[in-house]
Amino acid sequence: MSSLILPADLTAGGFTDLAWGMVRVIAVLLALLLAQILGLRALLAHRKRHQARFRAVWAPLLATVIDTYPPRLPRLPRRDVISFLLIWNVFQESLRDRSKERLNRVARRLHVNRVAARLVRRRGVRDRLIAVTAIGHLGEASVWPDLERIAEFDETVLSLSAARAMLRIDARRGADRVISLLARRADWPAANLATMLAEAGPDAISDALVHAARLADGPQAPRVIRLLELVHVDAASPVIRGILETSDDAEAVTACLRVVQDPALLDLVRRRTTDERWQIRLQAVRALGRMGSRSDEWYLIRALEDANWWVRYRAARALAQLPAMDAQRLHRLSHTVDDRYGRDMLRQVIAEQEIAC
Amino acid sequence: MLTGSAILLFKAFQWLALFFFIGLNGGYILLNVLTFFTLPPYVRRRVLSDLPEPHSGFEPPVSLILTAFNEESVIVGSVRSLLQLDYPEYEIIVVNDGSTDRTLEVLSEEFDLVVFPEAFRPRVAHKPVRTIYQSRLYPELRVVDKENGGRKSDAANAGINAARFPLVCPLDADSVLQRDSIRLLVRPFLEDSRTVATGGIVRILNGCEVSGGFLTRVGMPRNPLALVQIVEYLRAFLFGRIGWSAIDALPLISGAFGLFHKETLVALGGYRHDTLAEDMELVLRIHRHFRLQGKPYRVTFVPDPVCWTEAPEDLRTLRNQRIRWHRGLLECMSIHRELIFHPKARTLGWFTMPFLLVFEGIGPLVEVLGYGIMILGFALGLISFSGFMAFMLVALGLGIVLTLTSVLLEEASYDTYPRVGQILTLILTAVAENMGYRQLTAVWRVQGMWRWLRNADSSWGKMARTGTWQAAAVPREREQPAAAAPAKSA
Repeated sequence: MSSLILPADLTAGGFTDLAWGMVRVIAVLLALLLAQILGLRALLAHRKRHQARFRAVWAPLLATVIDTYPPRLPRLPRRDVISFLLIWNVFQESLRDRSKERLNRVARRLHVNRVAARLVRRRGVRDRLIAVTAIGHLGEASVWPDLERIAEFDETVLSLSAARAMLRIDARRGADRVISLLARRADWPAANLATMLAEAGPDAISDALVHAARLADGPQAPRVIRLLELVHVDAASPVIRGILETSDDAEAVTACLRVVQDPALLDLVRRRTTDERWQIRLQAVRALGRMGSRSDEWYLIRALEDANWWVRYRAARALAQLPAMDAQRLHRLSHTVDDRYGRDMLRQVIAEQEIAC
Repeated sequence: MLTGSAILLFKAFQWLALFFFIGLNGGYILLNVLTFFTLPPYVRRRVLSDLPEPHSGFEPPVSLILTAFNEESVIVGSVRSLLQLDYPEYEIIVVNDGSTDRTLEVLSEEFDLVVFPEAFRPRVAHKPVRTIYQSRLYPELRVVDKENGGRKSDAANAGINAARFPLVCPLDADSVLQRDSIRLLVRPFLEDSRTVATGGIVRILNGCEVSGGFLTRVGMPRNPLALVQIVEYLRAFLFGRIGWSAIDALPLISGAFGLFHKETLVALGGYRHDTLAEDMELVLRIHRHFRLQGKPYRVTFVPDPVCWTEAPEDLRTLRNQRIRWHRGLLECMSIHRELIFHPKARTLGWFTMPFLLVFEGIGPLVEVLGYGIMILGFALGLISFSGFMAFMLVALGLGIVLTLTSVLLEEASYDTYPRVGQILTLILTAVAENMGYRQLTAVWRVQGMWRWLRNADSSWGKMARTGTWQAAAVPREREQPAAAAPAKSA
């Protein structure tokens, strides 16, 4: 039978030898993989045990700073600095004021601040992230130039951490720097930015943010405008007024209507309830629900007849939110609305309110 | 004695099988390499994930859509799990797809449902809605009771219509989510406004413990079929999805858990009802829509384990599932064949789709025939024992290497199975997976191919759920009758 096998046959001698060669390579690969998996398991188990021992000592000790400064501190081996910073960062982000100061004193006494400053300049992302976060809590201004440099890195998580650290070290100076980068940092999530800027406080960020909102254009403008809800109403109002009065950019106007809080701008908001774009009408009726007066009932009842489901829904919700609006009045209104879709929507919102009660 | 033409045919098939083997394993190795470059850096960046993350109020609200067809045994636990997610604003819409069991009744009893006069707006097609309910206990929970549509897609479409928020997340009734799963899946939407869909890693729930709606202990199932699916999922998610995502060509977001921009789904008409792989079809349709029109968009994969789901534990259910999946894959390839080698389809059209069609779609047939012909050739004396053994060992060995690579990736990145016993079990399962299980699933997939060719009738198939993982999630007083039932029947 073997005489039937031609030279081009895959099961001929040459190919079979090649296959056996591959079998040997695969066997070696399998052995290496097994060794790597089991070795890694042993290493991870060892690390976990060490971490558990380390935590058992340091976590209760750091917990004591909620009330007092610990009189004695154990020695912190250099190899455990990263582990220490990981726990320390969690405590820093969970505690307040005096406790945070005591945590900083602990870190300084252990010279962790110096190690963290060195780690900021290292290459590894993991260690850098931990160190940058710690540096922010410690308020180490000496690392400012490094943080400015890192805030411009393409790496989103790292650059954002550096921005946060700057805001923590010097809120006003940090706000100027961070907000100046906003136009270029589309990758910085608005939610993270809002958290960071809110933490810095309206006093520190108002000037820079209002200035940035005035200059903002293009796709980044709505994002900057939305952040105006974090600044003082008085500071934000002129910018919002300017945009609502003159701009026709749907994104910018929508962003303004999302954040407007000043009753002095009510007329500008009311005008937008008849805009041809439903997204703008939607935000306008939401704004009326937030800051409108009883005289806005007429605008909202008209919006109940809107062709867009969302505008009708938000108008009904806004009506329910108006001052002096109660369940009885809403029920009465639902009988007076001529439009069937508007009436259905009002009934839905009444039902929502009744269930919520 | 075999004729000359039969021998020629045999040899031709040998070469075909060889090229297939090289292409298939080459593709897998490439995906593996891509994952090794993608996953470890991602995990390193997650070092600060333990830090408390306050909500900013800027997170987009999310509508969770839980589709249910005869899910009375798991639905309460699933909803309770969703009610405790760590996310600032979300709503839960349970779509009861005309269940014939007590799904609606248990929901009503547990969550105090009342009829709600919702101004329902049908924007994507589905069977008529009968009633909408609102929970008196949880304002964020609504139940849409509709006529049975025969497919999960029909129920999901009703959920999309009922959704009020800009992001929608269709879920399976047996999905158990990580507490931070929504926060993780939303992140790509926050980081890049072009994002229209995201998915995450789905893990096997069998053998785990769930308490209060959340996973409390990761365990290994005793059932060998469920066990082998653990390594199978590791392979599929750790180097399948991550690898495809790395080249911006992710073809699938699991129907068990994915997050979508609602208006995109509405604009595309929602889920289609004429395919068994509605999740894959939708993702391919999104790609097709945006790529062929040259519009910027992103479909991304978040390499975090975000969702746990129950795997079938009996051969019959598993077989039906695999036949359905394979048929669904071929349906998707057929529906979106325009994408294959389309100049605008980029990596998706030039790599993913041809790979899926040739190696995943037609591959099982070549695989089954390959094994069959090797055995036949050996039996007829056309292949020497040495040759037969060498080729079999290469085929099986490479499969084991690839599966073990996933185990290594899992170990290095997530450490989900921390005990030595669990790792040894995974290693042994990786071997077992390639010594019979893969071949068995290949046969089922050929059956799926046959059914697709015959265009046989199909429906969304009932998954036989054990629901053992969620016993602890059910309040005591509800647990007793269920426990008493088998005793009565005995």
